[in-house]
Amino acid sequence: MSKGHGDLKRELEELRKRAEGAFAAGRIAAKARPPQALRLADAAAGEETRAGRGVFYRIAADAASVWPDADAFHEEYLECLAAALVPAAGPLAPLRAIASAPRDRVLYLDIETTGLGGAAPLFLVGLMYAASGRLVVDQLFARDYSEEAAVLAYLDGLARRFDALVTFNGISFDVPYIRDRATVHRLAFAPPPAHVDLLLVARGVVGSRTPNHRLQTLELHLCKRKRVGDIPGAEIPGAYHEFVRTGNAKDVASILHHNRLDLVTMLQLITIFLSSGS
Amino acid sequence: MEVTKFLKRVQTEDFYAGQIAHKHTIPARGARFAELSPPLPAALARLLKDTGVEKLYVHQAEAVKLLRGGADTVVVTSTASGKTLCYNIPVLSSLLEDPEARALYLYPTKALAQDQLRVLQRYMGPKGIAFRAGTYDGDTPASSRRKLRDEARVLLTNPDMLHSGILPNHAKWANFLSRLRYVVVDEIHSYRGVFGSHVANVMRRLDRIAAHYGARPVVAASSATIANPGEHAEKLLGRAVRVVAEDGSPRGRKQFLFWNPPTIDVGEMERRSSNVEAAELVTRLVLDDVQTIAFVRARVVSEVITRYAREMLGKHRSSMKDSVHPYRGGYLPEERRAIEKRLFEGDLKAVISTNALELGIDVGALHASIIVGYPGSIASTWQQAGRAGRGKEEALTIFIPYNTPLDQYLASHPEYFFGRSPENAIIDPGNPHILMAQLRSAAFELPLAVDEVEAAGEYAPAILELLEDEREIGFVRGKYYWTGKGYPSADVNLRNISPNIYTIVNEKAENSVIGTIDESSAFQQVHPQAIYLHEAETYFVNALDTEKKIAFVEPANVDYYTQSITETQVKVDREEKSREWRIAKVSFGDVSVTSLTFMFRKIKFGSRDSIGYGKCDLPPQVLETAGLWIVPPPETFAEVRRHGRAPGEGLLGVSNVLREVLPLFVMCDPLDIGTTVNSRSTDSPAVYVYDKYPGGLGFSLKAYDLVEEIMKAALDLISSCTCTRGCPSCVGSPIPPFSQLDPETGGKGMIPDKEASLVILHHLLEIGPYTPRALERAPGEGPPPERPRGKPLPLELQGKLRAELAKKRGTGRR
Repeated sequence: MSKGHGDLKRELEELRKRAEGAFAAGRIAAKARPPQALRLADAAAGEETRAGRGVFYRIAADAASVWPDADAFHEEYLECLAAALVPAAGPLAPLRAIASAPRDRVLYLDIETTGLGGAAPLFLVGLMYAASGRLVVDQLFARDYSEEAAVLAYLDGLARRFDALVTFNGISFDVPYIRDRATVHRLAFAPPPAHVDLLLVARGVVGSRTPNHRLQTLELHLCKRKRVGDIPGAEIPGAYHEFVRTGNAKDVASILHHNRLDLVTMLQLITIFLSSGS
Repeated sequence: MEVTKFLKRVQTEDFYAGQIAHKHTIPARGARFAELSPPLPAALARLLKDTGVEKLYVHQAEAVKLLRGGADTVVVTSTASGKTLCYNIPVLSSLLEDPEARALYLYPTKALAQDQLRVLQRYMGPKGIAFRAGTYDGDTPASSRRKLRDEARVLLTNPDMLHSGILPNHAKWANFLSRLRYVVVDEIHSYRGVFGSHVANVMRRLDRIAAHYGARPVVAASSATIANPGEHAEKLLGRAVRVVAEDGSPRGRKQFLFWNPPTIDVGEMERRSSNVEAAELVTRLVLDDVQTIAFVRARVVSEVITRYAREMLGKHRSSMKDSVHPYRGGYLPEERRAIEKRLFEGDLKAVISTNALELGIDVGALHASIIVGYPGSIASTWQQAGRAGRGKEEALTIFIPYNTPLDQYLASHPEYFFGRSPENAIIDPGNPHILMAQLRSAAFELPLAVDEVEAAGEYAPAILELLEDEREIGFVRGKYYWTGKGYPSADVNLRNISPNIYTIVNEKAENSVIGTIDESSAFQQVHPQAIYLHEAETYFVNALDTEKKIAFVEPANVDYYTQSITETQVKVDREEKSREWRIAKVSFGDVSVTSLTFMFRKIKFGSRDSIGYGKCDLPPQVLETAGLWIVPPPETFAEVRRHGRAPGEGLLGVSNVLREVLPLFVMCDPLDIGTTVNSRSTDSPAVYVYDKYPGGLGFSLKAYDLVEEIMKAALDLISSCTCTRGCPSCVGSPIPPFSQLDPETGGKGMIPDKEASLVILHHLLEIGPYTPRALERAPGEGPPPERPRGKPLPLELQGKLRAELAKKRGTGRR
């Protein structure tokens, strides 16, 4: 006995729904519908760069090409630096190191790592600096763990050209981290002679006006920007390991973006501190 | 000391009633010296002379020569033979020759590291060598850590700290590690079983990190006498070693006495208290100005004997009361340091210690040692005996057995003691459970190269694959990288001890901390209403806060102490697999071992009378682990009964033998496993073997496949034992069942019927019928009836019933 047309349609519909349910529950999603793998080159245009005895992936771009407002921020920042008289004492005093350095010899730095300390490799050194009057974002990315040494070798060569380093929590995190990782690879690391840690400045300047002094809190309260769709910091190591394992760069784009935002926010914070302080 | 004179006099005293059951004399031997070639740097030779070292014994000269020549070496000589100098000389000479040289000293305990730092400090100062040294352990304040890292040329630490503090942070230690010339691993006999297997892996991790920074340190190891020092050292250190065992140190004559307390009843079943006998001897030795150490099995006993001895001394000369002191784990570090110092300086005449002083803490020359109760191994006994006698002076060791079957066996078989070789130390660095934990840490520290993985043991590649599946490892460009979360070394405890430590505070002294105690002991010793003994003083326990992990006590002047009663039950949670083995059934699966401390007894000091009972209201402590159980068929039991023997006893004997035999097959220490007989989860009594680690470490799993071999070995062991009715080497377990208790108050344990065990093993292995020796029983008398078995009582109900009983009995007695 054959089934009626309507019956078959209902059955198919039922099957389709069940399959959808399974997709939604993530049970067969991976097998049935492979997500479109994104190649690194498509996620971020960069080039393989040699340093020391290895290679890594370098993504260098004019800040304006990755951040539409970058030029405006940069201009405002330069104006503030030019106009401001940074006091010799008080919470703003550390910023004198930036104000007194030639504009193109200030290096902004923020790293992304696979752990919180010691032996966990780092895989991204985000750098920002002015070159020929334009703001440049230069990201040194290890495509797998073995490229960390080349990233560090390149960083050492580059950092020597700057007078001042600007970080957020770099005194207790980024700089010792880089130093330890360089030690493990038996490489040198000589940071610029002056180091401005904006976390310390923010503590003095902002005090209890914000609930805490995390970078994104300051960004929300002072820069009046809220990140949308940003990858949370805690998820970054896992996302990176996943990229190394699968080669799918979909999260790498998010990590690179997260890192650029951190760099730009530092620049904007300085502008705000200087304009509110003077 | 004048041993002969002392012994003669003791025998004329009123309290002497023929206690000396056996006298064994170990003859004196002269010192043998050797010249060192090449000679030491002049500054060091001068320094040694200044500290009283004119010549080196043969073993010292040989070890120094080997080590300076770059050979990894283990020194195995007697206690007090100058082992420390064997490694201190090459290290000091390297410090002089190379201003950058560093050395790492590893000790099994923090106390030992601190003690050895004091030894090193003798070589510092204006007339000595200028170098910094320090201890680096859990007690080191954070503020000193960096300084030590940067400045210490000799760092004294323990394997635990190396594992969790130094290796995972090696970048911070790069300067130290890259200049590492010597690694000293002292007392390697204490790295046995699971602990030793972990330490072996930690040593391999140290090697690869040091190699990463370009160093290849020479290892200097030392060991007390064990059966297999060379093999053990090579497995532990992962390298070939030279063994130096020719002891050149002089030794005075030693008298080794067996002192059996006299019987005090007509039936000769009861004996005078061994603790009191020990106190009597300590008192006489102290009055004779003989520095004495007494070794006891349980912490409480060190307190009880001290109390007795002080009382006795008080009667003779009250000023001497304070010259006896207990020494044990659970004292505050500064308290322990003070005791060690007083002992070293001779101000303290006697110390009553647990095995905490068995390791080589330098407390100077002691002249007499008293061993109260068999410590459980031949190796330990010799260690404890070795604490008496330095140099050429005559020394005395007295073994006082308890009135337990095991100790009394030894008392009547001195040849057992003096004829047996010490035990083997067994480790298995390749145990998959241990290896997995260690490979995680190793990969975290530095990516693992393929050849390193191949060298790490046959299971290493498969374990890494498994970790890769779990996303903790990534194999990238020929190396295994850590891709997991967190800090893997924090997930591993090298020792099988609960990380939960309780503090004991005195409520009458602003809650000042008087001591510490680990969790499982806390339940047994500082439950509410317990009497806690500290420095021989009595404290009443008001409350035990299991949340905050604090015991609140106050001083109480009472004339009794308490001993808790704990029952341990094993039950099957899940049978994972089972098979027929010949005529029996063997199963493997999850088991839980539940210990419940449900009541305590009050024991009057001196008389040992029970003067009352109390109830403990404590949660059970459960070890969920893996186990194997063998259920013999009814015919086996029938066969035992046919010979008029008790099957339960025979099975207990088999389970005791398994504890001796199984470690050789599954590569662990006897203390890493538990064996017992229980019928709670099976239709008839079964022999259980379980891993004493949460989740199990694969010992019983491995044994599951080797039942045939293991049971045959058990039969061989009992059959070839020359004893007639069972002894500690065969069916009698040398390990006391209640190690926390005063052996005079708890269960006595028993040596089960050897013949019943033999009948069982012959029957199970289907080796012809075995005819046991005739029973020593009146003719015509039949076998005693077996006790009937019903449904087992749930543990909670048992506790309630016992408590009810205790209440009744308690009031009846008072």
